[in-house]
Amino acid sequence: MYCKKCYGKLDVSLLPHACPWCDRAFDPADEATYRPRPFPSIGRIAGYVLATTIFSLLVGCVVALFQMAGAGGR
Amino acid sequence: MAEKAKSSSLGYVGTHPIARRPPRDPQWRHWRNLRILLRVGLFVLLAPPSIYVGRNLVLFGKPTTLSPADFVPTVQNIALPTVRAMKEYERDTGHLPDRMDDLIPKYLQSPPMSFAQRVGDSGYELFTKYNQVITYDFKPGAEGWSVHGPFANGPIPVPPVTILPTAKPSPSP
Repeated sequence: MYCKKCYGKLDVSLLPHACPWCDRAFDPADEATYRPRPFPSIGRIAGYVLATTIFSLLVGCVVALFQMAGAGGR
Repeated sequence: MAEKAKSSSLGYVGTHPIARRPPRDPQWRHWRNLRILLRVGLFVLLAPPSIYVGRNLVLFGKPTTLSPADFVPTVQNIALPTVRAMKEYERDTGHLPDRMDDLIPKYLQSPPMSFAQRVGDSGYELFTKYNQVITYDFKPGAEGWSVHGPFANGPIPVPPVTILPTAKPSPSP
């Protein structure tokens, strides 16, 4: 049982039920509040893909602006 | 680790949060390395094509980079009439024109659409978008269109200009 936010190991014997690393609350009876493995869910991986793509597109735009400035200065 | 009672100036009550943290085990480190590998792998896979597409969208308005084929419309609409007129001038006089005025009005009815054209005995040049230069090489054997500049270089896929020979060639001036 691992925290959904920071993937820290959760201990159900401690009360209140909260991650000892980031204090995120969890319910041992609700699978949606924790991760069975300390690895991102499909939804979070999709978020990583989207964020990486958008970030890289923006980097490409900045590269283009520098190239435009360089071409204009010649 | 012994539990610490409250009465801390930091204001927490009961067990200190750090004291509740279980130790990291080798299995946890293995999963952490997998998470790092996932993030790095996604970046390595996605960043190069995304940067390439983003750059080209801003510079050229399309996801792929500039190629000589992108200059075909410019050649056909602007450069082709002028080069055809130059070849007709060369056919009639035996040499290429020195300047654009030599072509008007006999070989070109109206001034060219673009004023960024250079006509001379060395050939033809058209200064066009993205600081690119379209040239036409009149040398036999190497005749044809090409483009040069910061983004695209190489021959343009347009056939060399051909004109009909005159039935009765006029004498050279």
